[in-house]
Amino acid sequence: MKNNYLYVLLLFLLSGCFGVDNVDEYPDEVDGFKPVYVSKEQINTISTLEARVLQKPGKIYTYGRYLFVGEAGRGVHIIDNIDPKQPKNISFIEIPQNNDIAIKGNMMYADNHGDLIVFDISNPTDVKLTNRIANALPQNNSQLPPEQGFFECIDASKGIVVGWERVRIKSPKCRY
Amino acid sequence: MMKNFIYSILILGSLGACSTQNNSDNTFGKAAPTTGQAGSLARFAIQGDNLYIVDKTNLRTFSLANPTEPKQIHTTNIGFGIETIFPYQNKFFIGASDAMYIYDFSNPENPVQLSRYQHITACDPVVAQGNYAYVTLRNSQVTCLRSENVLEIVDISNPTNPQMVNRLSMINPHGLGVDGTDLFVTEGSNGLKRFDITDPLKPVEKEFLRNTASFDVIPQNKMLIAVGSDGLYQYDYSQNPMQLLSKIPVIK
Repeated sequence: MKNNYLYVLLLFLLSGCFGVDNVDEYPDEVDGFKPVYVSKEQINTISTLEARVLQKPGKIYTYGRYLFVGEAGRGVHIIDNIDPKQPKNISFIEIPQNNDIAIKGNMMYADNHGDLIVFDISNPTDVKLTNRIANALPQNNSQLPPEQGFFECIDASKGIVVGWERVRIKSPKCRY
Repeated sequence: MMKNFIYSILILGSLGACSTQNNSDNTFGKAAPTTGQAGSLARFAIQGDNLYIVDKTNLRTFSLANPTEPKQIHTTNIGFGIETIFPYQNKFFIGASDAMYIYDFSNPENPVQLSRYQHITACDPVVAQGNYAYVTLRNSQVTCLRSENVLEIVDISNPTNPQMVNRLSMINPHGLGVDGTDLFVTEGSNGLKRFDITDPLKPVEKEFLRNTASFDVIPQNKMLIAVGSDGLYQYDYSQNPMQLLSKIPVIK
């Protein structure tokens, strides 16, 4: 008799465990990730802007007297390096989702979220976009957050996922 | 009269000097098209009339015969975890997460794989000079799972059969660059190292700039450009120790 009670108690404990597990799987509120969306229009917006400070420098490239410094995922700084003791930051080319460039004969080739784009850089303070080869390269879509766990499901109608933001999510529906 | 003549010569002479100066500096002029120089972490490389791009698995060739209209003319599957491409002579040294690949592009439209030099799984840019390739392998918990932090020197005199000839322990190596007897290895937040490679097999550490956080370099004409989380540095390495010329700071 006493044993039966124990079994019941054990079952209760186990079911309790399962119950907790269930809640754990999809809790009401949890720390997780939320997609950062950018519209295709925004991604394709290319412009030459005023020189700006280096914030998160990426890859480097030299071409004649000029030095090109990637600003991770945002674009490229152009630096006039005629005097390496006094390099002058002269302009910033905004290229969302850019990682790489290469230059030959005043033409600069850059990646722009799956597209290969071409610039005329004859005037480095007024760089001109001259062509776009759509879908020439694989896109760096961030379909999954950087860490396993809960996340806000991707809604493709909101745009392209370019990153993830750590947030508190209410009633999460996705996890991995 | 004589005086005027001398002045004229002086003026003409100095003008000549100026225009010579301008020509040599003005790479944006109308001379034959020149190509730039990338750091060791590049995925783009221009050789001749072609732009070569590595993505995570492929090597793509774009013809620049019409410079404003790049046209994809070839794609070849390399493997997985491809990270970098370094052109040297008529070969590409391609860094992947578990190997270094050597491709011959003597036929520029159709690069051919010569070899695959397998190593431990790590993040690994590669550069080459003469008969040797220098590969850094970095342990990163995030992108390149658990491995070691080393610099490997690989004999590439037979590019179809590369052989490791030396291995040096590093702290956290990223991009690297080689020029003559100088080899530069970035150590991430730990600094920047300069090695003497008079004996290319046995790099001798000559300088370790612990305050120059860096992840990639371009050594060119005795001027080193190093980029890191705190800024962009330029050094004159015609001197010992090399001299800091400038720093463009990162402002967060």
